[in-house]
Amino acid sequence: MTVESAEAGQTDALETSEAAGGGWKRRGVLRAVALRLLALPPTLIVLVTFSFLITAVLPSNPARVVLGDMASGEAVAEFNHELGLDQPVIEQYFMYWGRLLRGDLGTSFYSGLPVGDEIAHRAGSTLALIVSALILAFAMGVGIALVGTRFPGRFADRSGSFVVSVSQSIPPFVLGIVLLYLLSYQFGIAPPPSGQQPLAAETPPQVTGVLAIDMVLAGRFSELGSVLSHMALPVTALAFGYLAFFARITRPALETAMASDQVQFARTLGLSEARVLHYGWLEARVPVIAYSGQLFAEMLGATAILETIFSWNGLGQWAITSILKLDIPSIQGFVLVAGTATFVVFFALDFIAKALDPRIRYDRN
Amino acid sequence: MSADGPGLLGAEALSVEYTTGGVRVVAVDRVTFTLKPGERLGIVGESGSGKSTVARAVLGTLPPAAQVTSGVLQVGGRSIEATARGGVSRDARGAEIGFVPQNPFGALNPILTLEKQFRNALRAHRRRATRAEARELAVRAMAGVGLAKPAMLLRARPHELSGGMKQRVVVALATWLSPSLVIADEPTTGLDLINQRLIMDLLRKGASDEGRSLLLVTHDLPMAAEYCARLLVMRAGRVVEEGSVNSILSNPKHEYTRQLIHSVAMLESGRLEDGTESSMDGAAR
Amino acid sequence: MTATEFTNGTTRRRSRPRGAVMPSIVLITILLLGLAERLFAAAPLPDPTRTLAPPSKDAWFGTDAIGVDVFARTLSAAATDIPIALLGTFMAAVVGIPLGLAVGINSAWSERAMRCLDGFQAFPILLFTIAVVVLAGNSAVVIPFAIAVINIPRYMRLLRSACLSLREKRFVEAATAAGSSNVRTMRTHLLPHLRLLILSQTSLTAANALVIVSALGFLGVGMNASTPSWGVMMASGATVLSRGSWWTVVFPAAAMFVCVYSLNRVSDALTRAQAGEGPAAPRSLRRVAQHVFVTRRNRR
Repeated sequence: MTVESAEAGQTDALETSEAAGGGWKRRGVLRAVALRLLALPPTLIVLVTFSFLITAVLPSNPARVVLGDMASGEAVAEFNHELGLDQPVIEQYFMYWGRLLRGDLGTSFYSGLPVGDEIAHRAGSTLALIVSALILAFAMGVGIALVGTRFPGRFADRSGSFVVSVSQSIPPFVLGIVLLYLLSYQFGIAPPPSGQQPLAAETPPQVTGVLAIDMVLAGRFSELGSVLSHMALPVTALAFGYLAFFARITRPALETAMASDQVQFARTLGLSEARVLHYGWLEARVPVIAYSGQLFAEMLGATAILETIFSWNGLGQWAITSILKLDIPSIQGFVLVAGTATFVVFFALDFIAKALDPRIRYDRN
Repeated sequence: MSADGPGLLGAEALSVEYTTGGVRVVAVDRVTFTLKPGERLGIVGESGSGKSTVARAVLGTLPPAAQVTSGVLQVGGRSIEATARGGVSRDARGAEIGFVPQNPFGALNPILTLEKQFRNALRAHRRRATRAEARELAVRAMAGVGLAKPAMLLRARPHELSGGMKQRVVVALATWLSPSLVIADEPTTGLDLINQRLIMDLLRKGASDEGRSLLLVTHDLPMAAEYCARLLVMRAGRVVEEGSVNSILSNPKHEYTRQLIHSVAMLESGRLEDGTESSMDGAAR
Repeated sequence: MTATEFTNGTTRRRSRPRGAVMPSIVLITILLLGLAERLFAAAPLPDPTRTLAPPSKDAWFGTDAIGVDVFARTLSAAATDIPIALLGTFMAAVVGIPLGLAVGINSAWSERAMRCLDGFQAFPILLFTIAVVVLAGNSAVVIPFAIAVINIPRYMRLLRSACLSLREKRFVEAATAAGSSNVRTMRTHLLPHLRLLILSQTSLTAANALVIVSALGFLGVGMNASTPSWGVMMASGATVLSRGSWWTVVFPAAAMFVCVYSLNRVSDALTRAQAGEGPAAPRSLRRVAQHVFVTRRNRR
């Protein structure tokens, strides 16, 4: 088989795949998605079991907590019977699964409200913080890495490194307090920590749970500015704390990419340094994006403290108070939701990473 | 092609040093050569002889650890003071001087479509080039290197192509803006024999058709002898021998050159006769 | 060629991590000052007449809401927070390193073990720590224990990937091909490279541990309020921040920052030193072959 016929065959194959509407592309991606979804059931089982075991580990006497210390023995017994707390553990485990599958996450010991409602009410607020901070941290961290790679050893690089070191050493909650003092109390350019809105403001009807979006949906554009300004401090504090992560992951990946053959060749073609850097980034970005998933879980913790400082009334703050008060159903609900959310985030990022690197897509076929 | 006009490319006492981990290594030691327009010069040597470094010094794409420590480069009659980076400017790269690297599998950007890569390469030199212009030029370039259905291939990404096809795309990118000089650094590494021939024939054809000079850097002495008119033999950073292919093969002056020829003859007994014959009219090809 | 060049096919420099010295000195100084303050100085007393006094000649860092000298208390807190963080780090290292090495060398069940740990990593660490403390009480043993539990998987993951990547480097293959046993390979080839890596990770863990200790204190879940701790100081300072008394928050925060920053710098310096003398792939097969023959010769 000569080179020409082999290549003709290859071009024909390309033609077929193009004609099939890029069928090869779609099949590869779908297959990857399906494989990932297969991992969902076992993960869920582990998550649910872990959540259930929390009751075994944390000391609790829910009857006393809910009914009060003065409740009579019969009231307690009846309460325990209703919740199935007098059944053997295995039975309780299956009852737990049953409730979950019906969408019942339990009832909070303290508020008496369904845990599902409590979570739904607050999840949007926390998501708004985390997503905004992730994007900002990504932009800043990757930006510092890009500049440092482009001008190694110069002032831009050294000051970038310093910023990264500082970012790594200031926990977000500390920065939050400092920013609060400086920008809000001292200079008055940031709003006080009254939560997502000024104290007297009226909340719009909750559609998505994300205040900014709900404001827009309710047509109250004039208040959008206030919502965003209230977000500014916590998001900045959170983002600054994590830009180090992105910078430190991007820099080595970028430097490896800049030493690759394709970047060298791009230079010989006379492409500008900026374009050459872009070519390097195209190669380096996949691991950076894939690793961001790790951050999500960590950020939940950091966000929790910031929410407490800024009275954000988000999921994190609620989780902390639930833990401190030993509100078991709330803790269980939080574990389930946080765990599932983290899994979804990993999955989504993995998917995005594959979509960005065409080689991976095709390798599956 | 004037044989006695100003040289297209010249190096005089060019020296390059690498610095890694506090250790300085002289990679190129006072190398001097000239290349006339339309001429094909082969730089031959084993790995580590500094031949690739010479090529990169001319291009101006030396790695950060390397520095031009002395010497003068002359390109197109203009002297370029050997700055630490040395070599031609960014504008000249890709437009007046083309480069064919040795790794067909890694040279192209893996994420972008070929069309996008051609377009970026064009826009680096003609900022206002439109997509249509770029596509048309690219199609012509791809056809020029013998690729079938170029319009369709342009929409593909590098990993969908075979090694031979990729290297041809690389040759297309290196030559499509009609450079006056093409530098090829081990352009056939990793390719099977048939593809090797194809690439080298392409380079030679392009050179003779458009009066382009070719600087071929290789360890493959027979290949250099076949495709070039003059040879430069390098060893440990120094030029050991220089001359027409004819005179070098028939009458090697330096011991090392003799060793090279001898080891090749050992591997391919009998072939050297043909090589010598064909190189007699190498300049005319 | 010198003998060292044979060892892994590259020139190997015994580089002293110079950047690690200064920050270590800073950290140790702060710790010692804190211990001195705690052991030898009288416990700083609340002075109701001088609450929330700004920094002055008498009170360098000012006084807090109950009139306690912030400078004295900040130093004293160093003797609480730093040892707890270090204790947690030590506990994590003592358990995590052997486990990590075991997992790194034996790949049979290591895959599954790491998969389980991956799931664990997906949970917000801080909240887990809070839960443990709520469960088991906020003593000087529980908090380090919680810190250790979080960081053991990190050590394991790090050591496992380091072992795996080292194993794939040709010089180890060459050594094994030359007949060097597994344990010997580990001791002579892997451990020297791992040493700096372990130290670097330990420093990093200590930095994060300090942050967690402060966070716990800030939330009121750390050591009880009478024990001086930077996190607790920051929390009580935050409540009076609106009155303009920045010194109640800034000084403990700065102290914590300096310590965390120092630990991070030490970790960076150690990582850079490790990269300096780390093994690169041998530049040519020739070197690998030479290495094999040298090993052989040495064993006769």
